[in-house]
Amino acid sequence: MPNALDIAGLRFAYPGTPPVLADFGLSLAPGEIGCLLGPSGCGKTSVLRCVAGLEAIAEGEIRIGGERVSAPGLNLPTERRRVGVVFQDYALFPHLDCVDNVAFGLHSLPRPARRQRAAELLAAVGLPGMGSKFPHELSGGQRQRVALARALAPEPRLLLLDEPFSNLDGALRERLSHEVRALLKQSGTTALLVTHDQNEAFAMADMVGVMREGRIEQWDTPYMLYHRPRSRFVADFVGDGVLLDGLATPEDAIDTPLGPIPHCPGCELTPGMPVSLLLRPDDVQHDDDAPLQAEVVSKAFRGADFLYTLKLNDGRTVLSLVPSHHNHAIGERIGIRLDVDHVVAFPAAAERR
Amino acid sequence: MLSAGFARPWNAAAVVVAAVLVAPLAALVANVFVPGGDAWRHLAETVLPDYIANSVALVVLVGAGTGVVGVATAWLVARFDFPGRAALEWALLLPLAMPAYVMAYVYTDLLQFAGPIQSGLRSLFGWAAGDYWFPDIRSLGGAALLMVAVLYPYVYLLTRATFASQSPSLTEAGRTLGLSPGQTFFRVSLPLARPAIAAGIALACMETLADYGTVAYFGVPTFTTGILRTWMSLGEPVSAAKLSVMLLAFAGVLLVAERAARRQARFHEAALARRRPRVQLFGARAWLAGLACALPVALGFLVPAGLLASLSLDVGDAQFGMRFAALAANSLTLAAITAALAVLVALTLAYGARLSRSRFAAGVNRLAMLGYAVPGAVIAVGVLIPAARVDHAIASLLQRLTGEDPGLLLTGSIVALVYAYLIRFLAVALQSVDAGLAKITPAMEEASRSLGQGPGLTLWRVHVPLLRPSLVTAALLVFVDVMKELPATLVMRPFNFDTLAVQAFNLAADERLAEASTASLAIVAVGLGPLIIASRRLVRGEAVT
Repeated sequence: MPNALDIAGLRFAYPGTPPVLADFGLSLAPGEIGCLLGPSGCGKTSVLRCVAGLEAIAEGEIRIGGERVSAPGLNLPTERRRVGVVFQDYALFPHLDCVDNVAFGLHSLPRPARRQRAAELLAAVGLPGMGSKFPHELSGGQRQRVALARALAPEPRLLLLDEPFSNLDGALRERLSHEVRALLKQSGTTALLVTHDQNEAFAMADMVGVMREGRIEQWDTPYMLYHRPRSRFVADFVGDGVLLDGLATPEDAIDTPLGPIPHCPGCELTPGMPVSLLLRPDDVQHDDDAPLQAEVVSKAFRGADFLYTLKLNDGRTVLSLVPSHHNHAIGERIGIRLDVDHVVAFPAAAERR
Repeated sequence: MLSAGFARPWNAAAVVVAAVLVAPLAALVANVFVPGGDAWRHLAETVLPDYIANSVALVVLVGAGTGVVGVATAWLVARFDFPGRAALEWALLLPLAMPAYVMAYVYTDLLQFAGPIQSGLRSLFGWAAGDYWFPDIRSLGGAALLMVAVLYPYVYLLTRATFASQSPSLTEAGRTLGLSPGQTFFRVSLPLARPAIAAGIALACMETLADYGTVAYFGVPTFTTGILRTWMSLGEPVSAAKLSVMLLAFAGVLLVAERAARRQARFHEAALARRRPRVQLFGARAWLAGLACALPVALGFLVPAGLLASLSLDVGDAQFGMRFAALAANSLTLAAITAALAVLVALTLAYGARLSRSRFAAGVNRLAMLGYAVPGAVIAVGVLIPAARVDHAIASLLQRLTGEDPGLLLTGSIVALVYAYLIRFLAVALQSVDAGLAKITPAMEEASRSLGQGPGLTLWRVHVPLLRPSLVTAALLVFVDVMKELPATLVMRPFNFDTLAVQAFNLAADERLAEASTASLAIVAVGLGPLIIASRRLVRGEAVT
């Protein structure tokens, strides 16, 4: 069975500007949910637009279900690609009610069947009986669901979602992302979404690509991205944490201002090499008995815990996640120790930034 | 590009349409290089200086007058509250329904020696003819005054929106920096509104340059009367074309000024942070403000409309009945055909440009919009020169083929006239459709395309329903403009094909003003409905279409 989506060697530029995407590639197996994660302006939305056929590409090729749809000089019109798109602002047709919005792409069916299918889909996305409402009568979350139903109605070969939850508030965003994932998995739909929100990416996707300046920096599972980032950029972008300078020792360890920690398995470090060590907030534990002390610079209350920003004696800062009954004042000195499960270190010189 | 292959047929159509619309103007400009001969030399030595002087004087007077009236009323309505403000806010637009030439007939009838005012003064004071001085409305100054009375709404419309949307913080900042309310107006509000005011004045001046009916009736020789006289009475097409190109140059200057002012206005637009509360006026100040806003409405609409109504009830068109019905039918037919075509063409051009997303297509559309700066007299000359040639070519060809004389297909029918209307008024429709399209996010058509609909189906299923209000507005505006149009209609109508505007003009020219009232009233009445709809929508802050 061919991949649901293959992108290879993709180069794309808006007229008269430097390329937005360069040598970009990814593949999605049928039924897989992929996500492009990156800061704004990294080109992630351009990938979606190229896949949808809304932009013509300069180099490389895009295949959907094995069929070549984009290449230099080839741009299969959007309407013949059978891709569904959920737009960031939903783009519901304001002159049509929900049923007609969802039925919009089902023009080949006879009218009763069309409305029947639209009603089923509305029920599937949790909006039964809402068919006669118009988009302006719906809440943001409901519009999102209608947009999803509309995109799924013609049974697309691939579903593209552009920042699908960015207009929703936090709680709803989380609930919907789980619901949408369940729905996509249930229908076996292959999907590619783009977002700048890692929680959304982790909640929705099987595979996540962290993008930077028109390229995928790392294509991996959410777990691996967090615990085995392959570059400082990925380490920086995914999850909280600080990079701490250290030195690789001959004893397969890394010397840090917080004491030595064991060498990381995958990192190719030679003794004496200066390294950057990634410290997640949960790697730095609060311990009143610890000999190592740090000053509280700022703190953020998160309910179950505090995220403390701590200043070490040499002026460097680390983050520490501490259960919220340890309420320390700013300026107070508290004891910390390292408890690193997943050591991630990069050669300090080899990386940019 | 969005499926460039699919945009191509739309693009081609847009280019062809735009080329057809611009061709007559290009043909006109070509006449500059044709030697003018004695006729032109004579013209240039005798009447041309008058044309230039009068046209410039008229434009300057109307520009200044519309500026003062438009800004003052806009300022009062946007910033203050006084009794009647809400009604006046949209009523101030009503004079737009009153063609300047109708104003000329009405006020002449009102103010002439035998008119009610002078008769009343004479009987009141026992004066005889020649005992007193009374200003002559049929003069350059009178024409300017009447045009100000019907053209100030252009300035009012644009300036009111600016005053209403200026952030209150700006004037508050002015006050905290030690300026009095009056000083803040002149040093903050007015400079910020300058681009809008300039754009409004430029529009009013373009209308002034294009006017034929008023100046012809008042006997003020300007470019438009000169062009028609040279064409119709002197039979000098080349000279008429040369005059047209000169007028075109004047209009071009105004068009450039208007465009530049509008561009600048965009930068001056403040994000609407909070609604500015209007200052409540009390007592004498409130009455004065109300009076200041009511006066232009009265002079530009209520008085002339009332007089027209009473005249047509008292006297009316002697030929009222079948003949009048035929005139009305002619006017309505022309207006309806042109409105439908204009909307169709505007939709094709605007959607084509949107599909191709190219600078080229946008440029083509801008070219097609030039027509609205071109006076009807100029377009008439520009169309007739090539159309007559095409007509004769077709006629002789057909005659050779069939042995019969088919007559003049273009100039002998309304085809050439509708063509001229389209050139003149397409911009009105295009602007409305463009503004409507701009409000539809590109995601709409992308959504439709991703759901399997091609560009044509997308236009039909998404854009047309969403654009319906804009399309209706476009059709109405063109419809009303065609009803009012005079110079091109006078020149280009087929033999014995009269319209309401032509009838009113002819009766007035024969000093049968009371009889002209029926046709005039009909023109005003037709224009009123759409204007009220559009102005109320405008005041409620909806699309400026």
